Parts: sequence; C-alpha cells; structure tokens
Amino acid sequence: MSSRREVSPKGLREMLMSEDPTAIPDPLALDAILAKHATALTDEELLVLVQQYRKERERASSRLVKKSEMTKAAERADAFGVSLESLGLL
Amino acid sequence: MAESEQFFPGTTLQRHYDNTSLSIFKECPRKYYYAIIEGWRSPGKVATLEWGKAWHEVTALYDLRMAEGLGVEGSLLESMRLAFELSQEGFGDDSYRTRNTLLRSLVWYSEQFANDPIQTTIFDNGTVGLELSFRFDLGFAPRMADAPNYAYCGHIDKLADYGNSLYVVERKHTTQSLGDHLFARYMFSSQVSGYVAAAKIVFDREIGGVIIEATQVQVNATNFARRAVHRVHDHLEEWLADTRFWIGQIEHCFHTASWPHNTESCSKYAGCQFRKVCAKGPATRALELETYFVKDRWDPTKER
Repeated sequence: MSSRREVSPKGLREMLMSEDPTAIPDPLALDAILAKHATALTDEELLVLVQQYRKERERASSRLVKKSEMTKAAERADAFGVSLESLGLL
Repeated sequence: MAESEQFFPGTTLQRHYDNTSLSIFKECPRKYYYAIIEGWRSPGKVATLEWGKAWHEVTALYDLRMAEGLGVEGSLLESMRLAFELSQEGFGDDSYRTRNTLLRSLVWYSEQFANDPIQTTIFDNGTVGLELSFRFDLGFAPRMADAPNYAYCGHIDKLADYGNSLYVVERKHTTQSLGDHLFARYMFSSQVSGYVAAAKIVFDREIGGVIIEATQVQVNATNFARRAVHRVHDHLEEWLADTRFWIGQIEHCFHTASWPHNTESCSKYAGCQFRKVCAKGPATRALELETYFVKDRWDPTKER
C-alpha cells in the first residue's frame, strides 16, 4: 500500500469528469482508492469511482455495439463472397 | 446432540428445513449427515459464497434506499461504502470476485436498472419487501410421540411488483454466460417452488412467479439478465408431496442411523468437500473431520 502513489482527489475528479469519453484514467490512481480502508474513504473518492465505472460501462457498451455492427457487416459481406478486409473495413 | 432450534429437541432429526438442507440430502445422505447434522465445513473462505453474500447485501441496501426515495447517487454512495466494508478482507483467491468487481457491478446495476419496471414491494404497514425471512408449517409430523409438525424456512431477496402481479426476485451471480442453459436449471428448481408456496402462505398474496435476476461477473465487465419462472397450483402440490417424500427419507435414515453415500455426486461441480473424508476407512473418518474441518453448522432458522 505504501508504495502506491498518492493522488489528489481533485485532480482525479477533473480527469474522470472530463467530457472525453475515451480518456483513460490512471489505473494506479484508481488502485490507490480501491486499496483504501473503508473507514478512510471520502465521498469524493467514491464519486470518482462511480464516474470511472460509468465510463467503463459506456466503453463496454460501445464495444458491444461495434462488435454487433461488424458481425452484421461480415455476414452481409460473406453473402456477397467478399471479406471485410478487401472492403477496407478491417 | 444437536442443540439448534432446527432439530427436534434432544434429537438430531431436523425439524426446520430449507432448500439448502434438502438439496444436500438429495445430493448425498452422507454429505447431509456431515454438513447439516454434524455441522462440518472446510475451513477458509469460499469466494463464491463470500462475494455472493456481499453482493446480496449491497444490492439490498441500494434497493432499500431507492425505495425510501434517497435517489440514485445517495443510494449508490451508501451501498458503495458498505461494499468497501464487506470487501475489506478480500474474498479469497479468485480473480473474478474482488472488491473492484463488487463495486463495479453495483454501479453497473444502478445504471442497468435506472428505470426499473420491477419495483420493490412496500407493504401497507411500511415494511419494504427486501431480505424477508419466512417460516411455515408443512402440515405433517414425524413418527414420534407428541412431535410438532415439520416446518419450511427460507429467505426472500426481494418481493417486487411487476405489472399487476407480485414476484419474488431471486438474485444469483455467476461467471458463466447468461444464456438459456443458465436459466434452464430454475425450471424445476425446488427453491423456486418453495418461494412461490411461501409467498402464497406467508404473505397471503397471489404471486406471478419468481424472477431470476442473474449477474454475470467477469474480470472487466458485469452483465445482467432477468427471466421469470412460473408455477401453477398443481406444481406446488407436487412440490409439497416431493418435500414430504424427501423428509420421510431423512426420517428413515435417522431412525436406522444409516446415511448412505451417493457416489454419483462426489465429482459434481468442483467436487464434494468431503471426498477426502469418504476416501478414508470408516474408522478414521471422524479423525479426518476433526483435523481438517471446522464446525460451522448451516442453520435454516437463523434470520438474516
């Protein structure tokens, strides 16, 4: 625990609350919150985690949508006897 | 002699049954004897049980605060604090069941069911339909003088209103995919029948069925799926007749002091915890239990 980097909750919050949905937060900073004792947690840190997990879910959902679209495209391409690579989609 | 209320006084014949104890007997009468009557279990944490217990507690608190009108953010913060407390010591050696996956699953649960058509039941007296322990008389007694009737106990995770019907919501978690294969196991589940019977008898309400709310926990994601399982009145009559049969079998084993080993069950799932006990000769099994197991009896009468 002591080897973990101390981070400013304010800085973390700003980073995580940024509008860029592709922004990947510093995993070490999140680990530092996860490693805390339950009694030492602040509401701010909990909110940071909530925002982080919400972003993770958004990213997972968009990956699923993309996967589903690619599967459909591959099926259509296959029906015409071409590959997604030859169409420049991969 | 067993001293818990779950047994008839001065005997080791179980009086109060739940789905867990009956399932263990159906699996293997000897396992039932070791686990339920003698109360042995393997030492150490079982991640599946510990994480599952924490998941039940945090989702129940979240749903309670939501039913009380605290709102998503307030309910989430309070239940996340509880999740931190419950995960303080970890859940054992399991990459799927960690503090991180517990917290993430809770946040994703709040997102998934943000506009939930299934609303936690609130009774006229203000009781919120969460974490409800029940117990009812099974209507038959053992072949012993002046013995009271057997009883059936259980614990309902959530009672919810959906459409115009009342449903029992049973939370399950798994690392398997949430397909037909997973839900098929609840089609004939005794636990489901017991819940429907309990809701009719204890809460005196007509019930639509049981909604299995499954949570798939992965290292990097959590997925949810719900499916309703229904029971008609005839199914419940069958369940009661079957329950009577199995309790009769337990009573027979008790009277003959014989708890046969069902070798078909030894290797199911991750394997029976008592395999290494049964592998010993009958004379050394007690020593094996005392050396490598701890006493921590499952008690269906204990309210949560």
